[in-house]
Amino acid sequence: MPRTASAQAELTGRVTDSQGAPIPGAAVAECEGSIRTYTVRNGTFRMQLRPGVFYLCVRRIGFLARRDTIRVGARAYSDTLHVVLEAAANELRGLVVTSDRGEPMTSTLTTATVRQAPPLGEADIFRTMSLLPEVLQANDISGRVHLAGGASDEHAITLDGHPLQSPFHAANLIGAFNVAALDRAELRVHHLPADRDGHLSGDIRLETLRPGLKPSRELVLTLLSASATIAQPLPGEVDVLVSGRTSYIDKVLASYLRQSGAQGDDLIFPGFSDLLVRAGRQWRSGWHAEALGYVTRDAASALNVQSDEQPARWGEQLAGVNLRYRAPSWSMHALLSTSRARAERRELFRALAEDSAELEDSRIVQDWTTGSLTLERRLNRLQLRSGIGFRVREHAHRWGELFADQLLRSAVPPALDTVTRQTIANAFADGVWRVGERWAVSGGAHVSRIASSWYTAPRLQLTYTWARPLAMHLAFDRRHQFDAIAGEPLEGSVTQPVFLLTRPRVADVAALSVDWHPSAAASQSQLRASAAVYARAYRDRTLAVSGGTYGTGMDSAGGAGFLRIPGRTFGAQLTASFATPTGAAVQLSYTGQRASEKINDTHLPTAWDSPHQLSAFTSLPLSSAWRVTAAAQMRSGTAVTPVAVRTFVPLLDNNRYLTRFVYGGPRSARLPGYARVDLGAQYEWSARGADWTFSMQIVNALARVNGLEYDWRQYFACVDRPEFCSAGGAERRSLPLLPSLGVSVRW
Amino acid sequence: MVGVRLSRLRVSQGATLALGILSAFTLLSSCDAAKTLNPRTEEPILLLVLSDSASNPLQPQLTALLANSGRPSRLEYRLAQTFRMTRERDGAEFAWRTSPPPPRPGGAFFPSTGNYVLDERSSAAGLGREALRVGETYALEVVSEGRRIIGSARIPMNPTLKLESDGVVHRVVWQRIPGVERFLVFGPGLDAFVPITDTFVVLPRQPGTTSTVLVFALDSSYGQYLRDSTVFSAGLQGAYGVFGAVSASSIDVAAAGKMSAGALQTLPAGRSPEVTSSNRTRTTGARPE
Repeated sequence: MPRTASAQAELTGRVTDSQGAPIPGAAVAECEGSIRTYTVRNGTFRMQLRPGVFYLCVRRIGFLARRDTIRVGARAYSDTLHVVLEAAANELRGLVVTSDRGEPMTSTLTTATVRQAPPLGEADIFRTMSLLPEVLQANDISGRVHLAGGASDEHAITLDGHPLQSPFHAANLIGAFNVAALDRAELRVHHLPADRDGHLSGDIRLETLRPGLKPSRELVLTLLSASATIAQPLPGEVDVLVSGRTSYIDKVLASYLRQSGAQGDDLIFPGFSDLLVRAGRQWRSGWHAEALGYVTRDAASALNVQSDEQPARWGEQLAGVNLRYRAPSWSMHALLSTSRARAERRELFRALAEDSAELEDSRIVQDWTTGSLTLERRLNRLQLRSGIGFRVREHAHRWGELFADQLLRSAVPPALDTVTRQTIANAFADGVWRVGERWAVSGGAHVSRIASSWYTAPRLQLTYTWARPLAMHLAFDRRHQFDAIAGEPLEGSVTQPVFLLTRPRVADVAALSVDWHPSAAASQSQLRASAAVYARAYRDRTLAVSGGTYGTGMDSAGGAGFLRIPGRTFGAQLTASFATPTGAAVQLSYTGQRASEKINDTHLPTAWDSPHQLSAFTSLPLSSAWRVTAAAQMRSGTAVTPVAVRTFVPLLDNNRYLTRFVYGGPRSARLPGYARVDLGAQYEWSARGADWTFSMQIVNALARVNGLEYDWRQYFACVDRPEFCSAGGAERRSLPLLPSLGVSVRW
Repeated sequence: MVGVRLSRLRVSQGATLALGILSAFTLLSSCDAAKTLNPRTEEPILLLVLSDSASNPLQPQLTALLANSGRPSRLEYRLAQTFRMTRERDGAEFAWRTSPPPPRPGGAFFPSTGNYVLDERSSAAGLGREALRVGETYALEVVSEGRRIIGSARIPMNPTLKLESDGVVHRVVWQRIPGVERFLVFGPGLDAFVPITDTFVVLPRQPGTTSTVLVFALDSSYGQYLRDSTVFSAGLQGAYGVFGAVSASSIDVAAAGKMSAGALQTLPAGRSPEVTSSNRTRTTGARPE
């Protein structure tokens, strides 16, 4: 790499791997400055530099970061750099958490690492996410996650910047993404830039796969589903990504049960499919346009559906466009997207007294339209951004009691027929100012206007770099959220109705983190560590009132009843990872955290509060073809309300009695601790010009029974007669031992 | 730099470390982090529902249960130093006596029977069950291991049952009764302890064999205790449980030859929450509401 360049000029360059192949999407930045750009599809970049000596940092996931000294003279002229990045096999082959992409307080999870983790049937980005610190999956039969003690509806999920509503399949069991179509997920928990607001806990940004110069194709076959993905560059700087997946386990099961004469009309196993299509074009003038389409579809199998009935089906549709322009010192980004989430079922009922039949249609239709325009100006040590945006939402909710009980499974009103609308206009501005070589200050605010009211969310972040691998970040955020679901849904639920609020939920977030992320050559082992402490004050949270009962001080939002309550979360996390040059890797993370909410002047643990959480991930190459992986998770049990006293209800003959429990302090006891170990093995080989991978996994390899809730009658029976009790009195249980197989081919 | 110092580590060491961590997880996961939730309390429980002999002629004795809350998995009977029930009108005392239940090793999950009995006949020791009358009020005082339990109950008037028919719908109706909000209705195929607030039941449309419909009028204490699972004490103070009263009447009606569950239903149209929730079922019949 050349060590000398000139001043006041446009610096151009290209980033390749050691084989000379271009690396698109690599971040090229002044290490202690605000100047940053990214390489395009052919690996080239350009940027404006100032006179003097500075460090140039080049990063890309899957490669070791480069840091080189650049000397810029007073005379201006252009120069061309060639940066060669060394592949970081360790990062792609073992670690769950790769280093950040240069943005502080951001965790990145690549799909390459998701493929390493023992999956539930098939690779799932949300399930691997639960191995990250501060990410909790309180109910592992549901893919919903909790970030830093927040509720499961308090984080945003976006796909290439477009907001998604409910990207899960199989009644929330797995994520609705074919991992082959994704590049990475980025989690922002402790600090959100000013352009993002609308969720209290943070956001999960999913980025689709960017094709290189060569096309890539992948077929995957698992016990659950089959999928195909094509990433194809086309002439004229056009690229296309198409990915589809469909399940067949539901059809096999339904066929088997019909042939065996089984009866029943409940879900057998919901079948699912998803399709993602993205097409983009880049112009040499700096413009880049991209269109994205994404569709998910789930449908329940039912055995004895009558002619007028329609089994439950649900899913989401998204269409969006991104338009970007990047000049040497400024850039523009416009985004527009529209999405629809649906869940519906039609059932036939008979009214006994009238001896007549009636059809009941239950339907959730939620339409979102989102747009934003962002301008960014990059100066010497200052980076300024500002923008405007809007969100328009219309939610139509109509359901009956059985639909609410069986498919929504949360504290929704038992019956509802409403249409609600919401329009939010927003604007934001923020800046990053680098002070000297060690300090960076970022500050700004997000302003939202809804129903003639203004809500301002200030943001502040400080970064101090002691030495090169060691940095400290301090962040303060205020966040608003203008919607809520009716409490945490039970497993087996479908798309939850989102209720629109006119008065937002509010949280103040503070966090301090320290990162030790040294770079190391491929021939070296590497140890990385990070630690963080954080606290959150929920000044105005929603507590869904079961059944939508109203009372004094409650909000009515689209037919649901919400109490406004304060809450708080505080915690700390420690993560360390270690990787050897041969590809063996281990990661450990611990999170200690308390999440509570104040109800009737008493701070109670939230239903998902888990004070201690420990996770480990390891990946070991046994040979050039075989690799074994293991993931283990342990955490405290969640809070439950215990039985204080058992009394009885006499029946009329005075000699028969029913049990009635008198419950103790709300959420004053806990379920037993949760523990799960997942094991996996992969065998890789090359044949017919393609890379083949055979994988096998066992989820919950120790066959541990992890209860989600007590059946108190069973529990107390177990206390006295443990010999007749295998599940410890658990009424609902987490994942059982589940083996699975899969094969994939890439070429 | 840390990375340089660790560069000599190889796969075997990484594997050892990983296996060590997994072993630790395995050991830890076998431990149950939660302490057993098995509280034991000494709170008394008293269960007594009064009825006159006519309301339940097959069971001449009346029983009461006095117990310790104890552990949620084991019942513990409790003794009273005083078990006194009097008629409010004249203070006449009833002859309640202890009736120790048969001992069971380790106790029982459910009570097998009450441990206090009121015999049918009056005696020198006091009044018997035959002295209980509808419309009368009775006071209870129990002293047990230093705890004093008091209560009061009035036996409601009997419902007067009538059979009505418009040629299409046949139903049994009765009157509203002071102090009674809920009723229990028993008939062929309907033996659920779900109180209703209606004062009628609809019979099958095609009369066939004769059967009996039995209607109990529940006083407010027992009605509330039976229906509301969040009520732990009704009609008494100083203990969990209930001190209530019922009265009953029956009528013979012509019913369908083949009666099944749900054949005898209360009328719909949302006259009460209980009725509204029970007047619909799915045609496929697999899911009771």
